[in-house]
Amino acid sequence: MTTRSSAARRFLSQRLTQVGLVLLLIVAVVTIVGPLVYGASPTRTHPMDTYAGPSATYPLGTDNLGRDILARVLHAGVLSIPAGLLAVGLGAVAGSLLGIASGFIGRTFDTVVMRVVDVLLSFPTLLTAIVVVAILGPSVTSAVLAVSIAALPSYARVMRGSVLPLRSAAFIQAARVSNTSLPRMLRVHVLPNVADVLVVLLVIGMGNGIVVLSALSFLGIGVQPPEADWGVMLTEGVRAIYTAPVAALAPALMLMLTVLGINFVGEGLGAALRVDVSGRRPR
Amino acid sequence: MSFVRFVARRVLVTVPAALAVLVITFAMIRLVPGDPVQVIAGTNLDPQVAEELREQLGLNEPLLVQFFTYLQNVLQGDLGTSFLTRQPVADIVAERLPNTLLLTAAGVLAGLLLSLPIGIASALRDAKRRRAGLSFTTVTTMLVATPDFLLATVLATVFAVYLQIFPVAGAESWSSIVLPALALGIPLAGIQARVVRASVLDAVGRPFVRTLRAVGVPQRRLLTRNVLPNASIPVVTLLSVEFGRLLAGALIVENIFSWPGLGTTIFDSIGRRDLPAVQGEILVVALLILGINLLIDVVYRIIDPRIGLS
Repeated sequence: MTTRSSAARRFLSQRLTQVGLVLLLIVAVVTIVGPLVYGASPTRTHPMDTYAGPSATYPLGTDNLGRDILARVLHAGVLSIPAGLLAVGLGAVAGSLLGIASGFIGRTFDTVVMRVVDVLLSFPTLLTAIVVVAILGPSVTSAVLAVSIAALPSYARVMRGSVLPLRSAAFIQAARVSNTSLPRMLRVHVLPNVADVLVVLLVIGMGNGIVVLSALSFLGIGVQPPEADWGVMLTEGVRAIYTAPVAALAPALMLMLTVLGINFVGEGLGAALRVDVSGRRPR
Repeated sequence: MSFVRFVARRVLVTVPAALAVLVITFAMIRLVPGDPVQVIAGTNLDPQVAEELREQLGLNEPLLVQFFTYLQNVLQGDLGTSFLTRQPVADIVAERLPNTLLLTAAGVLAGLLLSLPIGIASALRDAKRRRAGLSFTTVTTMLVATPDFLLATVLATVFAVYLQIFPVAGAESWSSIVLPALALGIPLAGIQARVVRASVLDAVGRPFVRTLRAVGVPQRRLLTRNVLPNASIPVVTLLSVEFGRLLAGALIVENIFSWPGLGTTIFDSIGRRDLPAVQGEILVVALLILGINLLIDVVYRIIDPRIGLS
């Protein structure tokens, strides 16, 4: 346990981590407590008050339909963050399993899987996500699915790389000889050995997931209005950037805070666990 | 390994990837949930028109025949016809792609202009203690982590709306490209500055550089003649890796600045389910990424003949 607690100390003692945790705390308070404290409706239109500037009634002003921007930003986070996390989580689980299987089984299976992964990795995640959405049609479900499929190959690649050296390790050989079942082998012998890499990659990947998902919404092929995540708000804001710049700026800043916080924490985790992810960052 | 063999092998690696791209774009229309013709043209369509579209897309042929027809068409430069505008997709791409490439190139330029001074300065300052300062790590992490389309929004608000220095939309004058190029270049500069810093530090530490310094070669001359050429390879490599992301970034950023590139049409095509157009546009973007990566690999083999195939 000493190594775990010293890693935790290394993690928390870094300025980068501290800043990241503070940013995430702000985002968490804003998106979880915000909607409870600030009661204004995010969907109610005020036709008399379109594009109102910041005031006591509307702290951040209103948008083109006279909707309260603050209320919308607060509620949009409730959609943006969980959807992004879900997408990356799905992709990470599927990708890791595929990578571990590929590394363990080896032979033709490994070759084929890795060739496909290589091809996918030569394209940015956004492009892969766009192709998936183009096929399935624009909706939240296909956007989430698209992001998870786009995230999958980088997890497969890294997990395979971490599993390969284990294959010939003595304790794995011993476990094999003593007839350990595959699930038990994975749980007891493999996962603890690849956990560090996986955790760091997962944290950094979450930032990317939230970004790509918002990008899809921003481009009009993710979350569909009247539902709104930060990406949808951004599109609506950009359209009227001269009349009400806050409508674009508010969701952009919230997204930035979230992503920066996650990346700082991820970078800090990487340093604390001595995992170098610079070359494997999902982008 | 000889240069010719290097190029030949590098091309051989690209061919299967290009084929995979063709298979995927071919499959795009056919993988759509439901009847592709209804998805593209809507459900209450005149059956005769529907049949014409089906015929035009070649959906009545056996799958293998369809694929070879598709291959043949693509090789002849026929990327299909947009369902909505009735324009050949190849024309749309030819009209719009140059703008996207111009923006991408401007983004690369902005990234280089920002990252080279930052990286070199940081490396020279830290040459003695060899550890990145906290400020450097923090700043580069921030730059890398900032999504380009968010940066674009903030830049547009600050410089176009409040300060009114640059225009926010269109491509009428040279100044229109400044903000979108910065939005692309700044995150790129974050990663690049790290690579520049690391490779300059590495070059400065080499024995021959120490020797030259010891015999009294001036710092500036040392830097331009000996250190930077040796440090340039990793920077070029990074550009090859990052090009795809940058191009995808350009497609998004275009939407904020109404830049008349491929990005402003591609997402419109997806939203309206104009699958024939999407298919052609994505094919070109994907093949372009593969092609540029190949090109950069060959170019840096010319710059540095030590590089083999990894």
